Amino acid sequence: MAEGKKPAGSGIEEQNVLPGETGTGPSDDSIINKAWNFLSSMKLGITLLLVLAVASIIGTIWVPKDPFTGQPDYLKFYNNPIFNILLALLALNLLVCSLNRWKAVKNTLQGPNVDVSENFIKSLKSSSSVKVKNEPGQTAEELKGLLKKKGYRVFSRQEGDTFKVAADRGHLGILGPYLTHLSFFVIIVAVMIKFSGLVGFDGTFAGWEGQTYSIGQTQGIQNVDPADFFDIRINNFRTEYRPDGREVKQWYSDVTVIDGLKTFDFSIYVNKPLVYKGIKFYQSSYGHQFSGKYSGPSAKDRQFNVGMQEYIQPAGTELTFVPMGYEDATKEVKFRIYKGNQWVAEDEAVLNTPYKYENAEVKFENVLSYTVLSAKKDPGVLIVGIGSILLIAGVIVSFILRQRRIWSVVTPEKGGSLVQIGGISAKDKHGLDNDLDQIIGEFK
Amino acid sequence: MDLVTLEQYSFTATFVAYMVASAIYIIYLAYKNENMARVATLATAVGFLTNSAFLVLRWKISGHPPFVNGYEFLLSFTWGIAGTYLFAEWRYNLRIIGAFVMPVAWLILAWIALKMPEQAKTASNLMPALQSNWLTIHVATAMVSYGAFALSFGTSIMYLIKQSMERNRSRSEFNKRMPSLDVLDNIGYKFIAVGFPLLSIVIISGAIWAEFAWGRYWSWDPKETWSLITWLVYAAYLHARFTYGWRGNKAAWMSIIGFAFVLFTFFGVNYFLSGLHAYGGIG
Ligand code: HEM
Repeated sequence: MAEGKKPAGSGIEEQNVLPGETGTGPSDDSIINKAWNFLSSMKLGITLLLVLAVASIIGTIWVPKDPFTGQPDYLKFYNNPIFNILLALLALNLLVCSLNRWKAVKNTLQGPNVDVSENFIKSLKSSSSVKVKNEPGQTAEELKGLLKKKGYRVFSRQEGDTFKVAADRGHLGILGPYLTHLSFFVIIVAVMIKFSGLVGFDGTFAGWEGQTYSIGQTQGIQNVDPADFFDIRINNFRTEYRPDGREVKQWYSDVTVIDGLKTFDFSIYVNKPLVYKGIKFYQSSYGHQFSGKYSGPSAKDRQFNVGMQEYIQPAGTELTFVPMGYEDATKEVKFRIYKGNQWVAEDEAVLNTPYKYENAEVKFENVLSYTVLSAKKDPGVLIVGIGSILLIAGVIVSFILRQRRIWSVVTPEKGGSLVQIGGISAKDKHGLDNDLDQIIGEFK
Repeated sequence: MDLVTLEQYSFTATFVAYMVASAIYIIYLAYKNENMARVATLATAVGFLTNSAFLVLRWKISGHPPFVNGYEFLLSFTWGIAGTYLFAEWRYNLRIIGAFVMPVAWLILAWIALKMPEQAKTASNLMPALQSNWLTIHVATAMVSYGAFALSFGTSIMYLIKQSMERNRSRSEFNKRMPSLDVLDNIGYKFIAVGFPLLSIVIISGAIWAEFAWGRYWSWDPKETWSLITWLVYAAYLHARFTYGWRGNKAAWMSIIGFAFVLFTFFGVNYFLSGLHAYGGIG
């Protein structure tokens, strides 16, 4: 094994960059430089990652309640300016760090510097030397051949009768973290723009079956040019039940989009939003209005007109009918029956068919449905999407392409030549050591 | 025999197989006997097969990928752990790691057997929001990712044990048989290098699913947030490793902390916090 190899965890560790490759820019003490160095530092980066992690933890434990609905409001904590300043700082850190590193990345892509000293090679953690019978020129050629066969890019130079060889492989791997960082920067910026409220909106579009509405009537619509408004006709809202007739399988809103002369039909359902002119409509809620007649011992054929989960109480009975849903396919109204406070039955009745329970009778005659769609516009989604894919690509590249670099100096020696050889690999020291061992083995 | 009974048998078989494997691997720490250790590998492989059979049967019974309730998640998780472990054993030929990884899988099954109410185990229909292929990608990558983190966790524990034995200049047979610090550190890193890209895919496929279902790719729901936190911790691990040279001891501790976050995302969030993912709940 190459001499000078130390076990991991021994304290001093090699980094992926050589001294002098990092921290470009003059090292004077001006404020701008100090700020730049601070913003590009890895220390700030790791600190921010950990501070954000801790802040996020607090946000999941301390959840403010919405004052109106009493529901937990997860967004409130994270919309807090301090949290957003931390995010912005991380974005800035990533950007400055990336700009700062560009020169080092460019150098890496161009290839390792051939002009290194024998002392430099000796100082590498994986390094060794071997005596060879052939003269230096031939030995250097042989070495270059071996390196090329192993997939290295090879650079060389002759200085008198000394030959210097440098080689690397997996150099494109350095683009991986670079791509990851810039993508993450882009994602943070897109998310922050969205939360600033300067673009897009989060709204609610609701309407009855059979009616046509302009999207201008959407509650909360913003940042949309009225010239771009279009109409939506709600043709039908339907609930699809599973064969047991109770469990909901899917909710559909069948709509027609009417934009001037252009019209088309679309069925919106959960997981299948309508997207038109950058506005998305998601199935979010619904309701029904039920009308018909009911009778009890003390009053006959009274009219009712109630919504879902409202009460129909035939006079002279203790019974309450509570409509729970409606199935378009079978024209069945689903309802519950309570006696006093006791839930006594759950059943369904086809429209216009009288339904008797004890001394009461109910006839559902008509059902009118409305649908509630959440309407959104967020031009940032595409950017976040592309950023995410590039982020993943970057992460994968940085783990698959693991850079290895090798330097060698071949000098004449009595009866042949001396090969000094060593290398660096932050992520694949084992692979590098294998390569070096094999090369030395060939020479022995 | 009907599918449901068969499914129950496959759970029991997996439980027994992982238990036998864990026990033998632990005994193997003290008594070096290669034939015995081969039995542990065999038990792990059998358990992995019956664990796979469980998932396939569940898929057949419910008609959708078995990634919906806590019971299904946990059996996917143990599948990921056993699969990753078998891969690592084949790749590095180090059976001793089994003593530190397979008990994690077995303990999860033991927890199910002891604590999980019967009604939480039955196959159920998919509610509309869950009917998405992105959900399948989301959970499928999660189980491999978490399996890889579990493996790194196991080798990190081994690292700390080995290190303390080295410090005490232990001459025990056990110390001699433990892989070197260098090897343990390297394996610990390699599996994080597998788990981290997968965890990135887990988070992003989850965000895409949420965007299709609710028009909100990120809603700071606790489960979502905790998976992000886990991701940030592993990102900090990678940065500390490559820019500060935090290897060995510190890296091992970070890997252990990272896995604690994985477990909290899995169990803790459902127990201690509530959120949208409650329908993916465990209890
Ligand atoms: C959440 C945010 C971040 C993610 C997901 C991320 C991801 C990564 C990944 C995957 C690597 C490659 C690690 C490896 O090769 O094993 C990397 C390396 C690196 N990151 Fe980050 N990073 C983030 C934030 C930052 C920040 C804020 C800084 C800022 C200073 C930074 C600076 C670096 C540096 C200097 C490297 C080493 C590059 C190299 O080895 O060539 N990262 N990052």
